[in-house]
Amino acid sequence: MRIRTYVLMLGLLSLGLAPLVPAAEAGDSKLALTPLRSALLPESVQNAISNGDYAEAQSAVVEALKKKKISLKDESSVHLAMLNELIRVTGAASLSALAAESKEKSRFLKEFVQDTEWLELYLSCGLVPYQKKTGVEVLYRIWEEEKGEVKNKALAVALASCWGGGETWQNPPLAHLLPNKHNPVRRYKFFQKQDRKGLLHPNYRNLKPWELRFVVANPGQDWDDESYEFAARAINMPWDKYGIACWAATYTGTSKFGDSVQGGAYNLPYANESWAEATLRNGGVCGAMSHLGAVAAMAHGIPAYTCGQPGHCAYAVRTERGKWVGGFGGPDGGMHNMIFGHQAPTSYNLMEAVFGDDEKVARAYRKSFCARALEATGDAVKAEKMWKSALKDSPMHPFFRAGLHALMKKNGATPKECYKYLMTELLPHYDGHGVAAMDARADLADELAGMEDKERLDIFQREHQALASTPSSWAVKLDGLVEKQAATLQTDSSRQELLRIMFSEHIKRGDGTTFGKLLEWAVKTYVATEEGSLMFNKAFAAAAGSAGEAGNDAERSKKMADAYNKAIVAAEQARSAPAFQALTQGALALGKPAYKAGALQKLGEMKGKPAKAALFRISSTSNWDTPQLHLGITTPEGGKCHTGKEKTPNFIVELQNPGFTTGCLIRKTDGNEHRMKKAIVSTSEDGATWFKRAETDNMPKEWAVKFPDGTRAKWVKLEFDNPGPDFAHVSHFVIFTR
Amino acid sequence: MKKFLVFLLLVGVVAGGLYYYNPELLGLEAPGGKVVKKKAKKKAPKAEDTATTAEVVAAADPVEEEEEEIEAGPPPSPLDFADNLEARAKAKAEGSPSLILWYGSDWMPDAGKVVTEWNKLEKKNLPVVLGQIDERVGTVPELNQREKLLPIGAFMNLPVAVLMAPDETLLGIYTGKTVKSAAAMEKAVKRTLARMPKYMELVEKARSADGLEGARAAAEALAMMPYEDAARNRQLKDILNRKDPEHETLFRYLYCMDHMGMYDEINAVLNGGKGADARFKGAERQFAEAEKFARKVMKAGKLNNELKQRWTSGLAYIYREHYMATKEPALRKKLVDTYRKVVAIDPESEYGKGALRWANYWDESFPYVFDEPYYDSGEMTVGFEKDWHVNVSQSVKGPGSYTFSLVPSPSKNGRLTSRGFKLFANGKHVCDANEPADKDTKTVTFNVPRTLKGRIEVRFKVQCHDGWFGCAGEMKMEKTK
Repeated sequence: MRIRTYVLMLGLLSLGLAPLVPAAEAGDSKLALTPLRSALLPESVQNAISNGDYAEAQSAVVEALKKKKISLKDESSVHLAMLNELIRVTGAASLSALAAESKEKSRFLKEFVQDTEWLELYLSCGLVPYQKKTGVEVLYRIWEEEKGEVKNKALAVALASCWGGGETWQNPPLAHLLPNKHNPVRRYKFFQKQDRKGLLHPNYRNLKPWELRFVVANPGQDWDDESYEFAARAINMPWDKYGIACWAATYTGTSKFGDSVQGGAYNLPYANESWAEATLRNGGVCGAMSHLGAVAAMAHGIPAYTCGQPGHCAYAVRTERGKWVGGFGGPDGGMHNMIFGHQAPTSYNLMEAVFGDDEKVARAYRKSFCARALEATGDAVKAEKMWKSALKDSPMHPFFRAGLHALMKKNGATPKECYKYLMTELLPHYDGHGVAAMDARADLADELAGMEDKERLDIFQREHQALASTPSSWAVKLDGLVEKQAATLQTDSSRQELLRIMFSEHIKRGDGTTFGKLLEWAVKTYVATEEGSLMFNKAFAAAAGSAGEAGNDAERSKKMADAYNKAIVAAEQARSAPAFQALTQGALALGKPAYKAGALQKLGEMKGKPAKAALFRISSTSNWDTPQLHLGITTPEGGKCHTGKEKTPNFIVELQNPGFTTGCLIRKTDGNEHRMKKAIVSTSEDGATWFKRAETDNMPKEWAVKFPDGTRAKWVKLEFDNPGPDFAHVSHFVIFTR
Repeated sequence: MKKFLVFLLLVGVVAGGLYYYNPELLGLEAPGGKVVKKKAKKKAPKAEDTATTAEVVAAADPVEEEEEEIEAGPPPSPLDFADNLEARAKAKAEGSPSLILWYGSDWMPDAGKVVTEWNKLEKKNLPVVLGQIDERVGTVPELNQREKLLPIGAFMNLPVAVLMAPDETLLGIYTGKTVKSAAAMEKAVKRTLARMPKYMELVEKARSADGLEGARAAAEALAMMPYEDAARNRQLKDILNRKDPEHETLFRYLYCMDHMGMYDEINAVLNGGKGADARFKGAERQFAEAEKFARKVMKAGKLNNELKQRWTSGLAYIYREHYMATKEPALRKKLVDTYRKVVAIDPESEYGKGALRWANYWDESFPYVFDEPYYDSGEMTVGFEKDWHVNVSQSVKGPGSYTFSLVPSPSKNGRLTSRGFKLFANGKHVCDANEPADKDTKTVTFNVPRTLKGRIEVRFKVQCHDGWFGCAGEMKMEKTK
């Protein structure tokens, strides 16, 4: 206890007042966390830093730590632990190199290591630039600009993090960026100025560095500084509208001078304008427009990211914690800015869950610094305990898990101990975050290899339980994860059991998307061979049987049909054409439903021939739906589908081969034809940008739509705009190609 | 004694408190054994680490433009105007135009300024019913319904004001600086109202007359509007599309199509059909027919600057395609001249600025001039060399040996070729580089014989063989001896 604290406590105790507690105890997650006070560093550390020798400083820090009881109770030990972490993560060589560049830089570093508030913000921001000086140098440049009094340290940290990447994500690739277009100081000044003028979202000032990284953007992917300045002037909308800000620009594949957006000359006439200005004034396609929408949001202090989708680019904005709203077909896809992985939504859901509680995550970070410090001093046992204590506060933090797992391996954890740890300490925390659970467990692959199949299947079942409760999307890639599960198993019967576990866990819960994705993987992996098909069918039948109570043959047959129907709709939600096709075949092999669609009367009016469909997607399903007949709807023979009650129910046909389409023929199912009056047919080449081809306020029983000449499409959508929620049901939605 | 104890306690509290926050005040040592020094006020650091490499973090900071600083304040009270729908109903009943402002006092950061100006505008007694769209006045429907409140489609840069006739026919749209100034608004609205009788007469005719007569009236009314307003006038465009389905008046090419539509039509003529129906390729394409088509459309109606620039750019496109297919030098001159015509119509417009770059790009006699030491995709030329003039005035200090280098960005070190390096001062040739004029190189040395004054440039010839995004980097001039 420090002298000054004793003196103060003496006075306060004499007056009958409670003593001030400087900080939370290690392991006690209930105490409030207070700002960490700066302690003067030991002389040996100071001398090494003054000499710009950070390797020496690191040794001195470790020596000093050895003399201390490293815990949250001792703030000076936490301060030293943070310094240890700064040198570990940045690299002693990088820090020494930076210090050697100038006296000012050396002076900045001396001040920075004493500034516990700033140091803590930097080391707790999520991605901390790893083994390079970039991040600290960005902080220096802002410090230099602010003449040593940095007003917004959180913003500076976000910029440093975005410019420098992190241990798990070395992006951004700064090397190809021109420094006159991507300048962190200019961006810092821009946000400070906008903030002073009150031009940023009311929540901007509450954003932490991990959130601000989605405001200052990833310079390797997002636009130039001038784009921010331009977008702040040129796009001003109610706060909740930035999800459509992309439409401030015109969607155009041709420039004002006739050049295709796919070619190099498109933006050449406007090369002296920022990307935002060039796009707003001249238009663009999904890539430029999504960036425009995102930059417009970010320029107003609203977190956003752009993301890649197959053949498309989209974006997302976030006006309140945890709520990402899609723009231009987002938020799902491969995020161009991220902390824990780039798969939206699972990656950002994990990030929001980890950082959602400011105090808990801050405490966990302090413990993680202590754990690293304990490791550095050679106390592996206490270090392991400290990692576990950090994980009590933040159970899903991937970096803390990785830290613990590395230490467990180093400490020689056996497969049996790892099994117990996974089943009792790791997996129970990951409900709703199944992908994260599987990623975290992957650190212990060697230990998993040392287990029995039965133990592995226990672990996989628990993972699939977590996965089934995880909000997912068609964009989330699961193939690699389940592939690894299957590869770890020793026998085909174990793999069949894995399939059964997968099907039965996902058939019972979830929104169907993950089920569809897993079905796609299973179909691609197993259905190609006879033995594989047998495994698949047995597993599917067993899972279908386990979906309810066992009964007689008719009941079992009905259960199988129900399971197939659910699986087909899941495949549609997951946008999986192979699974959709295979499951439809499987379902029809069980027996075709006794239903015959009415005959088409206008077939002769259509030009070209019916196109083969890869996938039929229904916007929602209902008890009257017949998914095994969905594929038939895309053929002249017809089929049957039935949505739930919706304001805008829709059907989308994905063609096997994109190309020139001539039109489509739509027919309502027999009965209740009064429904589905206002209808729109649109086409798309990327599955996200739709062009209206026909519209009617009173769709007839059979509607022949002719597309303009030269209409290329891979997707054709039929959408109804009902006055209120209502059903939609068609027997035919046949697309014609040349 | 009791008093003494209380005194001691108070001394303890005060001393403890002081030490807790600043031990130096008591002359005591802080943990670690040293007296904590107060942080010295820092002086401005020297600018000794300015950008010299392509590393982003070492970039020089740009000079900011002076801008009016407005400190953030609480949101202002909304205007005392009726809600959008109420104002429009009143305007209809009175037979007056309505002027609706959409500004968002509850969210728009500088709404206070708009509120002040529009309160002034109210006192101008314009013959219109004033209304507003605001979260706090009336009912604002769901997000996706908001853009349907005004007959101008989605609008992404508020504030915006819309002037409508009593029957809700669109008369004018006001944005930018105009909508933020009472004086500018008054002037603009009066100007629109002055042309309203003639305009409404044409609108009535467009609605009532059959076929092409109605289409012509709609086109004439659209021609009375500024281009941006006409482009958002769905009411008249619908009439024109409906009454001239076969393009007999040619007005649809002008008023119902954006530039994409124009190039689709031009390409259809060039290629002898659209999409898969195209019959011609390369030099076989119908260049003369396409030019004839474009010129015919341009003569069809009264063209405002935007339309003139668009269709003149269309002509330049035809010449460019023709030149690319045949490499006839006369066509290159023709396309440069045509781009310069586009610039002359309105140099400040996007067409004007873009056409200037295109003209300079294709004009063999026109060099690219660099004042910043970076080159990027926008400076590239594909298929021919271009002269580059790089300002190195700041780097040449007295006589000596200087190295000039092109340092490509690591991911863009494409096949940029550069040759014929020469040094100029105030436009006069000073010396050649040490390398032969036809040698492709990225680093050369100049022996500067004397102190040079004025603008000093390195001039050389460049071509990027990798096209757009293929070449980018930094240019350096450094004294070596």
